[in-house]
Amino acid sequence: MPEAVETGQTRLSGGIGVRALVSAMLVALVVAGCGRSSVGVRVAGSTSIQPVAEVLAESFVKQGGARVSIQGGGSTAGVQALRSGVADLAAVSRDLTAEEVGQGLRPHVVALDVLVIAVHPSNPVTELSVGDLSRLFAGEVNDWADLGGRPGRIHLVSREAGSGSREAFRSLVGPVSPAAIIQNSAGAIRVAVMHDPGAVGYVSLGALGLGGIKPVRVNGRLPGEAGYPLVRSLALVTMGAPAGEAARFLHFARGPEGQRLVREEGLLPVE
Amino acid sequence: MRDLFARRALFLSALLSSVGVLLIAWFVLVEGWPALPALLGRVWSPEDGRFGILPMLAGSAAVTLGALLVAVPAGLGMALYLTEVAPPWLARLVRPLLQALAGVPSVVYGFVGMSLLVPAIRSGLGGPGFSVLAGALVLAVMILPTVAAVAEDALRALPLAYREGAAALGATPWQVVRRVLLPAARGGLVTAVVLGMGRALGETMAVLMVTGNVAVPPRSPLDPARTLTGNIAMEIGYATGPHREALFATGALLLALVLLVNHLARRLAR
Repeated sequence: MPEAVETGQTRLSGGIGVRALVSAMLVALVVAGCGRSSVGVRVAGSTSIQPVAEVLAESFVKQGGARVSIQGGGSTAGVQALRSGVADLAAVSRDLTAEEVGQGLRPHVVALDVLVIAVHPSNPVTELSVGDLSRLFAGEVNDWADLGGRPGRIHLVSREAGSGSREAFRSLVGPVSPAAIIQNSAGAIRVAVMHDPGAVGYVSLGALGLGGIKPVRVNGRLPGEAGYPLVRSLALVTMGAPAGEAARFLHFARGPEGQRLVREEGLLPVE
Repeated sequence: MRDLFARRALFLSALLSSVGVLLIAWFVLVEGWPALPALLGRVWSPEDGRFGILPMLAGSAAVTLGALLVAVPAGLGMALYLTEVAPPWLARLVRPLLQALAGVPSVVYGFVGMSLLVPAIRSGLGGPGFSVLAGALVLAVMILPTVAAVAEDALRALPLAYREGAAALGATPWQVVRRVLLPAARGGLVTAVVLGMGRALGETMAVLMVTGNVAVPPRSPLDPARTLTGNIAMEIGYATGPHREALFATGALLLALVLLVNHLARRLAR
């Protein structure tokens, strides 16, 4: 259209209808972006708790509860999110620090996670004491023969710094040697141990259920049996007393239906 | 008028992309600035407040160097084969396969590396299997398409007259390659290497899965190592305070490194 070149103005052609439609779309976009989300309870934190939290959330909605959104990021990130108001519940798989308790954070335990010491299925070592484990993972033992197994180098596999599992291991057993191979999830540790007859690592009970690795008896007990020492609490933490939908979700999680789901996920229910 | 609209729109997109890169660089630098001096250390132990990145620098350097040692001869060889030796039907077959290699997601490389390469290295060569060698091999496969493609373009851009002239003077095909083509395409070939290096430095996922992530400088190809990228990826989710700042500072360093590498590539291309 030759006359279009003359005007030197950019204008949407098509008359009032098109302009109104585009304006309405832009307004709708802005409103959608600025509006409050429709999620009732926001949970953030430990990736160890994520699988069971998602199962609980699904069942909670079916029973008429609010929508629960669940994010990972680790226990520490969850606590930060709770403190800054971005989350209603922090999923924490370690003990709260004195500083955190002092800031008003209250833990509500929903499940007990079991740390499994995993070795390759062909490894003849089937039993270790907590003392053995602490020396083993500190890097003081170099050969499986020193622990009663086949001669061969020991390959330690651990989680990355800041992982809830690693902190639980550190508090239950002891520090991990800096020479340990690091993988960034329980699943990855499982794969590493599965392919290496000389490897030993720690995973949560859920990863054991996937097969391919063998648990070691600790203090004579298998994971899941009474008296097994490597157990940690998985908690949903609130700022102060629980309130609103978050309180209802907590009540559900700690009730009979929630605890049944916890057991199904391979965790131990709260007594 | 439409032309003006188009020009304004294109200018806006160019502006958005540049502003995007600058904003990222700015954000990373601002978040990491206080921690930059702390990076000059030999031990990385966030629990003890030590943030020296020497072990990771060594890890990244070792893995990148290893990858280049494999990918440059292989990529160059492939490029030469495709331009000088292969019959056209074979070249047409091989080229898309090479491009497909570049399209495989890096996590797939990592998974294959973890399940096949690492156990093979452990049983065949010893050590834990998670090693600089594993990282270098996986990276080599990932940067091979880049190196081969850029090298091929550089060789293809040479005038046919070079080859014909050399042949007319009685040179054998290998002499043509060695004495005429390679020196003439040197700029483009160096660019290929430098681009491959940049890609290798920035790769995160696949390397994280096969190098073992031990924060100690590797002393042999069979030792595990941790790269700068792997370090950031593993710890950024949990890091707070000085730890977080140190990771951002590492990110700023990486960004500067990659920008430098790209700048070098462009300079050498001329």
